[in-house]
Amino acid sequence: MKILNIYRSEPDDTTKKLVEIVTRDRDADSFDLNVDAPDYSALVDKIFDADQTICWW
Amino acid sequence: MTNPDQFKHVMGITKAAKAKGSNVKVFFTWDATHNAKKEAGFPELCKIADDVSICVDSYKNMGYDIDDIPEGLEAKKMATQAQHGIIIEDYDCYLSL
Repeated sequence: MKILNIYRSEPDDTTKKLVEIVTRDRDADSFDLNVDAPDYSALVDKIFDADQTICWW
Repeated sequence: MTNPDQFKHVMGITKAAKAKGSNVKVFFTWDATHNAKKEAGFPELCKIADDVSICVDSYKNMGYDIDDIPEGLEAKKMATQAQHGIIIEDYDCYLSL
Protein backbone atom coordinates (compact mmCIF):
# COMPACT_ATOMS: atom_id res chain seq x y z
CA MET A 1 0.00 0.00 0.00
CA LYS A 2 1.52 3.28 -1.12
CA ILE A 3 0.06 6.58 0.04
CA LEU A 4 0.64 9.91 -1.64
CA ASN A 5 0.34 12.93 0.62
CA ILE A 6 -0.37 16.16 -1.23
CA TYR A 7 0.16 19.35 0.74
CA ARG A 8 -1.80 22.45 -0.23
CA SER A 9 -0.02 24.45 2.46
CA GLU A 10 2.95 24.00 4.74
CA PRO A 11 2.02 21.08 7.01
CA ASP A 12 1.58 22.09 10.64
CA ASP A 13 2.20 19.84 13.64
CA THR A 14 -1.31 18.37 13.44
CA THR A 15 -0.94 17.49 9.78
CA LYS A 16 2.50 16.02 10.38
CA LYS A 17 1.12 13.86 13.19
CA LEU A 18 -1.81 12.66 11.07
CA VAL A 19 0.50 11.88 8.16
CA GLU A 20 2.72 9.91 10.52
CA ILE A 21 -0.29 7.89 11.69
CA VAL A 22 -1.79 7.12 8.28
CA THR A 23 1.54 6.25 6.68
CA ARG A 24 2.81 4.08 9.51
CA ASP A 25 4.09 0.74 8.15
CA ARG A 26 3.24 1.83 4.60
CA ASP A 27 5.16 3.21 1.67
CA ALA A 28 4.62 6.93 1.36
CA ASP A 29 5.36 9.71 -1.05
CA SER A 30 4.56 13.40 -0.97
CA PHE A 31 4.00 16.37 -3.24
CA ASP A 32 3.94 20.05 -2.33
CA LEU A 33 1.36 22.09 -4.21
CA ASN A 34 2.28 25.16 -2.20
CA VAL A 35 5.06 26.28 -4.52
CA ASP A 36 5.15 28.86 -7.30
CA ALA A 37 5.17 26.40 -10.18
CA PRO A 38 4.19 22.85 -9.23
CA ASP A 39 5.33 20.13 -11.62
CA TYR A 40 1.85 18.87 -12.45
CA SER A 41 3.19 16.19 -14.78
CA ALA A 42 5.22 14.73 -11.92
CA LEU A 43 2.18 14.96 -9.67
CA VAL A 44 0.04 12.99 -12.11
CA ASP A 45 2.75 10.32 -12.27
CA LYS A 46 2.79 10.14 -8.48
CA ILE A 47 -1.00 9.87 -8.34
CA PHE A 48 -0.97 6.91 -10.72
CA ASP A 49 1.89 5.33 -8.81
CA ALA A 50 0.03 5.51 -5.50
CA ASP A 51 -2.72 3.28 -4.18
CA GLN A 52 -4.26 6.09 -2.18
CA THR A 53 -3.96 9.86 -2.31
CA ILE A 54 -4.65 12.27 0.51
CA CYS A 55 -4.92 16.03 -0.05
CA TRP A 56 -4.08 17.85 3.12
CA TRP A 57 -5.22 21.40 3.77
CA MET B 1 -13.35 20.62 -5.97
CA THR B 2 -14.58 22.19 -2.75
CA ASN B 3 -12.14 25.06 -2.27
CA PRO B 4 -12.46 28.26 -4.32
CA ASP B 5 -8.73 28.98 -4.44
CA GLN B 6 -7.43 25.79 -6.07
CA PHE B 7 -8.49 26.43 -9.66
CA LYS B 8 -4.97 26.88 -11.01
CA HIS B 9 -4.10 23.43 -9.69
CA VAL B 10 -7.17 21.90 -11.31
CA MET B 11 -6.13 23.39 -14.62
CA GLY B 12 -2.54 22.26 -14.21
CA ILE B 13 -3.43 18.72 -13.19
CA THR B 14 -6.08 18.41 -15.90
CA LYS B 15 -3.68 19.53 -18.63
CA ALA B 16 -0.95 17.20 -17.35
CA ALA B 17 -3.32 14.24 -17.10
CA LYS B 18 -4.76 14.84 -20.57
CA ALA B 19 -1.22 15.07 -21.98
CA LYS B 20 -0.66 11.56 -20.60
CA GLY B 21 -3.81 10.25 -22.27
CA SER B 22 -6.01 10.11 -19.18
CA ASN B 23 -9.70 10.85 -18.95
CA VAL B 24 -10.45 13.65 -16.53
CA LYS B 25 -13.73 14.46 -14.88
CA VAL B 26 -14.06 17.50 -12.62
CA PHE B 27 -16.88 18.20 -10.20
CA PHE B 28 -17.25 21.54 -8.41
CA THR B 29 -19.17 21.73 -5.19
CA TRP B 30 -19.87 24.23 -2.39
CA ASP B 31 -17.45 27.22 -2.37
CA ALA B 32 -15.68 25.92 -5.47
CA THR B 33 -18.77 26.67 -7.56
CA HIS B 34 -17.58 30.31 -7.48
CA ASN B 35 -14.92 29.15 -9.95
CA ALA B 36 -17.60 28.54 -12.56
CA LYS B 37 -18.49 32.24 -12.59
CA LYS B 38 -15.31 33.99 -11.47
CA GLU B 39 -12.45 32.07 -13.04
CA ALA B 40 -11.64 33.25 -16.56
CA GLY B 41 -10.20 29.85 -17.35
CA PHE B 42 -13.35 27.93 -16.50
CA PRO B 43 -14.66 27.71 -20.09
CA GLU B 44 -11.23 26.46 -21.18
CA LEU B 45 -11.31 23.79 -18.47
CA CYS B 46 -14.68 22.66 -19.81
CA LYS B 47 -13.05 22.16 -23.22
CA ILE B 48 -9.92 20.42 -21.94
CA ALA B 49 -11.50 18.01 -19.45
CA ASP B 50 -13.62 15.10 -20.60
CA ASP B 51 -16.42 16.14 -18.29
CA VAL B 52 -17.04 19.13 -16.03
CA SER B 53 -20.10 19.52 -13.85
CA ILE B 54 -21.11 21.50 -10.80
CA CYS B 55 -23.43 20.90 -7.87
CA VAL B 56 -26.44 23.02 -8.69
CA ASP B 57 -27.59 23.16 -5.05
CA SER B 58 -24.19 24.49 -4.02
CA TYR B 59 -24.28 27.01 -6.86
CA LYS B 60 -27.65 28.25 -5.62
CA ASN B 61 -26.40 28.39 -2.03
CA MET B 62 -23.45 30.51 -3.16
CA GLY B 63 -25.98 33.08 -4.36
CA TYR B 64 -26.24 32.31 -8.06
CA ASP B 65 -29.35 31.90 -10.17
CA ILE B 66 -29.52 28.29 -11.31
CA ASP B 67 -30.77 29.53 -14.70
CA ASP B 68 -27.55 31.52 -15.09
CA ILE B 69 -25.52 28.69 -16.57
CA PRO B 70 -21.77 29.38 -16.47
CA GLU B 71 -19.99 29.77 -19.80
CA GLY B 72 -18.70 26.43 -20.97
CA LEU B 73 -21.34 24.34 -19.23
CA GLU B 74 -24.52 22.82 -20.59
CA ALA B 75 -27.67 22.85 -18.49
CA LYS B 76 -27.41 19.09 -17.91
CA LYS B 77 -24.03 19.65 -16.26
CA MET B 78 -25.73 21.63 -13.51
CA ALA B 79 -25.92 18.43 -11.56
CA THR B 80 -26.19 16.76 -8.18
CA GLN B 81 -23.82 14.95 -5.85
CA ALA B 82 -24.59 11.83 -7.87
CA GLN B 83 -21.97 13.12 -10.33
CA HIS B 84 -19.53 13.14 -7.45
CA GLY B 85 -20.40 9.53 -6.69
CA ILE B 86 -19.91 8.54 -10.32
CA ILE B 87 -16.35 9.85 -10.24
CA ILE B 88 -15.58 7.83 -7.14
CA GLU B 89 -17.16 4.70 -8.62
CA ASP B 90 -15.95 4.88 -12.20
CA TYR B 91 -12.51 6.46 -12.13
CA ASP B 92 -9.22 4.87 -11.06
CA CYS B 93 -7.95 7.95 -9.28
CA TYR B 94 -9.76 10.54 -7.20
CA LEU B 95 -8.35 13.84 -6.04
CA SER B 96 -10.05 16.30 -3.73
CA LEU B 97 -8.93 19.92 -3.78
